Amino acid sequence: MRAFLSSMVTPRALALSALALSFFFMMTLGGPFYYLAAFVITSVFSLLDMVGGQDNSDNDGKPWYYANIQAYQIPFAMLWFGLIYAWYLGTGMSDLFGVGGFLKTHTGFDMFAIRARTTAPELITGGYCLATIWAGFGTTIGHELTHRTWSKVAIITGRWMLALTSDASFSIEHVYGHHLTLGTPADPATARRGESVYHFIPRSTFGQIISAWHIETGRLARKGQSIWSLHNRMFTGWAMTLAYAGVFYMAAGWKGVIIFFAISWFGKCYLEAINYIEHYGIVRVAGTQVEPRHSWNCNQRVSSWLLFNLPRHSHHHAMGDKPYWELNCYPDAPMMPHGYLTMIYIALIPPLFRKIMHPRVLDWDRRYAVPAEYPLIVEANRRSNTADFINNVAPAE
Amino acid sequence: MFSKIFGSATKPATVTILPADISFIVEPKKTVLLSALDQNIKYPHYCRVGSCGTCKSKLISGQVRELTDKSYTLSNEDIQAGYILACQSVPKTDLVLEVPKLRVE
Repeated sequence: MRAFLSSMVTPRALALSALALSFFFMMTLGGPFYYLAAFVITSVFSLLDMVGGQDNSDNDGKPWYYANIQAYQIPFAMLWFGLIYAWYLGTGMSDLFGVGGFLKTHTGFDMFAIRARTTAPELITGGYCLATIWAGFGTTIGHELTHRTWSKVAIITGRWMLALTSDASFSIEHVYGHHLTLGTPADPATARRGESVYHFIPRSTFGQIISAWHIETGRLARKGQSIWSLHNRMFTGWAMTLAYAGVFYMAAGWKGVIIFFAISWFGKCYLEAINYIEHYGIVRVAGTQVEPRHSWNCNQRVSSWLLFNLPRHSHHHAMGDKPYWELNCYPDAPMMPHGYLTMIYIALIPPLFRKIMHPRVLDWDRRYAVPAEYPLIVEANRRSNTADFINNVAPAE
Repeated sequence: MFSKIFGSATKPATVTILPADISFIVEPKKTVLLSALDQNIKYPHYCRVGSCGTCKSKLISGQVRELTDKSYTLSNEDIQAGYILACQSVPKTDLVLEVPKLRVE
């Protein structure tokens, strides 16, 4: 029992619980609290990330049951935040699923009064919060769970989480595509040298959907099942997203549907921005082993805590079967200069991103690349349209 | 009882690899690939999650429980010829597998 408690009460667990609780209140109270939530997401996270230092502990010893409780709490929170936001989008006395009436009767908390006072800028800010929360927590857990291909519960929960950002097919492409083709031109989700995040987001998004379609229809053909059936996980994934849109329709009609897709697609862009920084400029010979050096690793404490160790990307790609609490820090892997929560914003300013990352990519060429990769580097540099790379002769030396 | 519900063995299984004629023990609920790697056997592999097909092995005898849908990865001919993915297969009985690329050093 004592071991159980001491595993529950760690700084990491307490910080996450406090955060979960505060977001629960901010997103439920709505109105002006959306401003506070947006401030925390946009500023406080990045600030803490900068001062939080590194966490270079390996395998922080969390027992699987506890770490899984954490992971499986997230989906409930994601659905609750979406539901409450949809509720506030409604008008007058409309009461989606009777939530408002239930809370008023049993707790005295009057959502109707809050809705009557809520302004359009508050709702827009709330939509921003919801999008970033869905992208930052929902899809991170969706990603974690859809890697557990051996567990039906994990796959289904994970796909519902990824459907929040309109792309449950990420579960197919990521596991059966990206993890194999990483760093090669065949991978839509590896950012090319010289490519800006704004070019990457649409290319990666549509490239992954097309790739997922090919993988899924190939599987159906081998199983002798029709593409036009419910066996097709492309369709079931889109249906999940439509189900969420349906809830927003019930809450606020077509206006609700439009707002849902605006939030969902914004969240998808946020997710792709994370994809962008994870492998920027890295090359790999197709068919060779994916090694820790093929990802930009990051051990920034706050990023790792908030994103369920996703920043420990080197280990994740080298061993895709490891659950997040078993990921090690790999201090010798190519390292991102800041935490994920900072790098996302840097990526949004392409000149700044280039200034920070290009020297690191060139350093990667010298220190991490193997000779078989040199021709790929020369080719990637040539295609980059960027002086930083074109004028670089490191691989030839 | 549990083995009936989950379809996996409750005692260790012996896996024999041909043509190298190597045998190793797989503990209950563990996959063929991870057990081999734990025992320093250089089983051909790459992704560990059933997506690349590098560890595909021909099942000569015995039964396995498969953790994932191998039709994402293996071709029709492979599946009909009885290939399995070592990284996604938990032995239900003792196994004999054919893995030409696995050699004794």
